Amino acid sequence: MARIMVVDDAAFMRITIKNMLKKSAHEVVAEAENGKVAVERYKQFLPDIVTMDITMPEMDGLKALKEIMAINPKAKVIMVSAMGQEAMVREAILSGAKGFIVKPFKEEGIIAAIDKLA
Amino acid sequence: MNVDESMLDAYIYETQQLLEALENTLLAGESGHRLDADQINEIFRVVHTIKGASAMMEFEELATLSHKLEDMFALIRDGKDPGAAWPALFDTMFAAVSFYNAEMAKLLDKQPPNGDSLPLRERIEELVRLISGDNGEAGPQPDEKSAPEGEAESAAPEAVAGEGKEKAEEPETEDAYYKAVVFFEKESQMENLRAFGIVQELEKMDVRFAFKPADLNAKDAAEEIAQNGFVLYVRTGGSIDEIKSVLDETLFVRSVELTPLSEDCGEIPDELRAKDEAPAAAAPAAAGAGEAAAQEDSGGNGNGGESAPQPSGAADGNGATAGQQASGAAGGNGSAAQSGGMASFETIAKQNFISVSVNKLDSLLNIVGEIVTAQSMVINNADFGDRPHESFDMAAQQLHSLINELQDIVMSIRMIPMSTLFQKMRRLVRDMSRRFGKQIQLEIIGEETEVDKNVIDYLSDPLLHIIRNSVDHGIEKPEVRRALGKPETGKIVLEAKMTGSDVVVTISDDGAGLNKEKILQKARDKGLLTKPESEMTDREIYNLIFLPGFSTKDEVTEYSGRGVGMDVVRKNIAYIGGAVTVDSAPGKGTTHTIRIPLTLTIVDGMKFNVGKMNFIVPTVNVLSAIKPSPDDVFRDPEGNEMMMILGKVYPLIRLSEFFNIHDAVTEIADGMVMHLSSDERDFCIFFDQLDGEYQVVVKKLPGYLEKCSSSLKGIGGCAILGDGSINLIVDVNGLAAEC
Repeated sequence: MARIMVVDDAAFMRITIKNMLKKSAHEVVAEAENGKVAVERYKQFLPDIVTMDITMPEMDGLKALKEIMAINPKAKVIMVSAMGQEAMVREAILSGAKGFIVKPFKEEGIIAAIDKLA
Repeated sequence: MNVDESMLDAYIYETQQLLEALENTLLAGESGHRLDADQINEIFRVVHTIKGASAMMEFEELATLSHKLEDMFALIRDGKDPGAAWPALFDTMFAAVSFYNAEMAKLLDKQPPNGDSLPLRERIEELVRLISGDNGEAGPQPDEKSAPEGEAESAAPEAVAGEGKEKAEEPETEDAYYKAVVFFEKESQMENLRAFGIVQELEKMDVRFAFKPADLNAKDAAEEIAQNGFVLYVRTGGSIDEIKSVLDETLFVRSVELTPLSEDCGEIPDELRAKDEAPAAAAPAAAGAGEAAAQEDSGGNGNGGESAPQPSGAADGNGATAGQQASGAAGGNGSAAQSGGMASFETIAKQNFISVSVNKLDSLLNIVGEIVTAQSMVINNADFGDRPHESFDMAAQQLHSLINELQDIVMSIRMIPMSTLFQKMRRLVRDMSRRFGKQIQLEIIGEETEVDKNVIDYLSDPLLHIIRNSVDHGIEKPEVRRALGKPETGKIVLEAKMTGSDVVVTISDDGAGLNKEKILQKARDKGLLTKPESEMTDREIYNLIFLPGFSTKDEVTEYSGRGVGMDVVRKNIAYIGGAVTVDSAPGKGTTHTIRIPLTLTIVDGMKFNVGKMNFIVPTVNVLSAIKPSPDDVFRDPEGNEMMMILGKVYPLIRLSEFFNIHDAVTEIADGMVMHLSSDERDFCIFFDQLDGEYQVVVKKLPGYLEKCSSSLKGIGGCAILGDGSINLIVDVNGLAAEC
């Protein structure tokens, strides 16, 4: 079982991911609605795995990823991206993201991804 | 995807909020005729979020439309100025917002969002052509989503094709060769970047490798990998297990076919075989490997030479990141220790919001109402008789104050600011003033005023209707206004404020005002007049417009005058216990005033009876209750009964006469008088006996009673008390209108 933090500025996406993970062995222990909050919560909750949206206000997912990797180089961050964000996904991989998932995704997809990292 | 109700709710709610924000940004931008960088970023983010959520919900049309919008704003964000296309862009964006809103409305009605976004998408494509200055000739297709990024990528100094990792000191002779074909999960998407991830992992290891397709940035790389798999050739002196685990641990890897190759196998790319060749030479060889492979490979060939690898650049890049990480880690930890605690505390405090379904709040409120009733059943229980029960009273008092507190909290949870509703009107005024060729400024005051959620829902249509009327019939065209010596730009002021127990919303315009003669004429024609015209005040005449079936506009426009006129406004407002009036001055403008009681359901009231009928009057309206002396009561020259209180004279209404109650007290000396204040005036009512103070839950009168509305004047609702008695709640403002 892994402790998950879900980062997304859209409450809908946070609810969706949480609902999807309800059927898994993992527990969502924290949520954040932008990168800045995500970094703070990361320090506070030290989740095992982070799902990170890319486009967010205040601080985007790439910057948050870099800050989280700076805090913990072994952090496991999965980027939540969408078609059209190839360049940002590439940058995320170079910055240490463990992988990415592309919206729209299915329950099996995200659970499998997290299972693999957990 | 399995869509449960809560997700759909969340989707609609959030999308609507985003649309509202989008619309406000557009309105703000339009007044400056362009969007600034922040606004463009904000809009980009909004459409991006809507795109993602719509795609998750599998609402294809909405996702596709959002995608188009996102592309357009990416273009603008990246420096293309729409220039002359700004007005068209604003129009298109507003049309898009309307389209989304219509789809959300369908979803709320449990209908599928089946609108066709094609016309909109075509407009957007046209705009994109204009903005990019591209008239269809060669060049990046703007609506090709990966085009701009693809460009940027191929320019980036990342040596992807054929990594021959420099491991000069490797003992070549003991090395083994492997071929690995990696397949990703179906629909995992962006397979080329998933392969890129693998390449990045292998980079960190002590192996040499080459791969196919050689150019992971190529347009068709993702598709090729999806179909044929990502083919890796690895040469390692160590165990292959390490590599296998990297592949297995990569997200969305469905299968890995790992086969050892003998050293003389023709398939092995040359650059792996070669001794310590400079890696720069490896790339073309990797492309060559593509040719050698049995599988069809058209994309890899041409690209091999193009992406001239610069391994030192890649290495530098890695080094820099590593360095950043190291220094960042040190700095980050330090700041976390010092200031981090405080900052996180703040952000957490800010985020303590949850969204709750209104249905739950409704039932919570209902239950609180029931508790209030049950409380009075307990406290006033007849079983106590006359026995003293001091400690019970103390406990009851505590219960009472706790329930009061509970009530206040429940009410406050349901309060939301008017701003959402008021901001909606901005768009309406914008659209309508354009359509009618009028110049109108909408001023909003007091939008932070909070009212019950129900009030917002019921106020929306009346407000829309009144503002439509103001724009359509009220404000004159610029040339007319100029001729009249008014400023060309008309003004509508929308204001909300609290006054004691009420929220007052006024909508005033500086337009032509209502036409008294026309209203009278119409009322006459339709037989709506109930008293002689000569006796009617201007105000009474103006308020005729609220009567059912009244509409003075002969021609029907898109926005107003559809026959369902102001009477619907009045009905809607009456439904939430409010009242609407209108005032007007010819040539100067019209003001609509809407009053809504602040708390809809629970009131403190004084109970009294007239004959066998029980009434409750809201305590806020009660100035005093008096045992009257017959000397203070007299009739004015017109025969109306008046009452003198502290040297002042007030109209007196005998409720027994007003409500036709026959078993009531008739002698002034035997009954009581209550001095009441209403919005209009102070007055007195005469009744039998005062019966104490109660807190009651206001219920609407049953529907069948409402139908005979003429006989319900002066009654605002009813309440059931703890003892089971039914009490009518006096509508003080309604009664005042009758004196």
